Amino acid sequence: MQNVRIIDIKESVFANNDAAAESLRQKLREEKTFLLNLMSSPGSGKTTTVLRTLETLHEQFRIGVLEADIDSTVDAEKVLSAGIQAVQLHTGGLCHLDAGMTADGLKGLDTQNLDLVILENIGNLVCPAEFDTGASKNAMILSVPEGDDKPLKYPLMFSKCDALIINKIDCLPYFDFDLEAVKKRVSVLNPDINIFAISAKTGEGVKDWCHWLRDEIMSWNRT
Amino acid sequence: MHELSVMRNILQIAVNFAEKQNACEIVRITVTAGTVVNIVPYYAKLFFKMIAKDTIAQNAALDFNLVPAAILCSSCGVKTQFEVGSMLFSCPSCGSDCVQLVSGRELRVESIEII
Repeated sequence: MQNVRIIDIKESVFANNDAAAESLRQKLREEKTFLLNLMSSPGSGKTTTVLRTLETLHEQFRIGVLEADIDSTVDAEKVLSAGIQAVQLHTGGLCHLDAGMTADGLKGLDTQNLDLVILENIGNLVCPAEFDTGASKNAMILSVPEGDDKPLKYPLMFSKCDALIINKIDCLPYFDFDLEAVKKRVSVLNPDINIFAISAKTGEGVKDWCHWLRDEIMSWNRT
Repeated sequence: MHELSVMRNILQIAVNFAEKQNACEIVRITVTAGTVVNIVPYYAKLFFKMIAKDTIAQNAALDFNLVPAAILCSSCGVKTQFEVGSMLFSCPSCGSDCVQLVSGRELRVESIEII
């Protein structure tokens, strides 16, 4: 019988993707392009939030949008009709984007002449949290109708984001959603996270979110 | 649902290391996974069988060391484990809110056994 040898590896399962993400981040840094990875559940108001953000920031920055969707062009069409460069990535049945797919998608945008690219990731709170896309910063949206228990159910997503947008706060009177409880739960998972309560529909709170994003873009593009 | 991508990476890492050692077969792969990472071992093993076919890992056993999630209290220093889904947001020992998630996010290929 042959000898069995045990080899210690201790390598992160995401080592390959992490390396690809780091090289994409480096390239974007050299091009002075800020990539925002925006994640959420389906129906959280991602596209509406993106449109509000474009409305606020389009005069100051040259912006492009990368829409990842399982199979439709609805989101990209909405963004294009707002006069912004947009590319729709069709991911088929895939549940997340990784750094390789993001880099491929970015080839469809003129990133050298853009200050900000918003990546609208696939609507899912589980899988996208695992894969570094190469983004400069990660943000997520939790909308009021989804419930205040989501940080308990999807802790990884909340622990990986730099910013949390709590959307649809105009609906707060109609739901048992405890905003303070969410803030407390999220701060345990992620003490450094920036939380913005907004309504993409009415525009409430959008200014603070855009202010944070503007500062992040400016500090990224300066270095 | 992302088990397939995860298993592809695990297979690739294991095969790369085994080939460097001139192995002819991988008999076991041990993976360390935190419970917060949401890997379902049942599906992970199923996908692994599919993708490992016709590789030197096709008969490998796949073992998961599951690492429980835990918070650490910065007030009293007590570490408390919890089940995902019933997460703790304050220290059960002293009641302080100054707690941080300190384990449960691990995901790495720990070791392989090769012939």
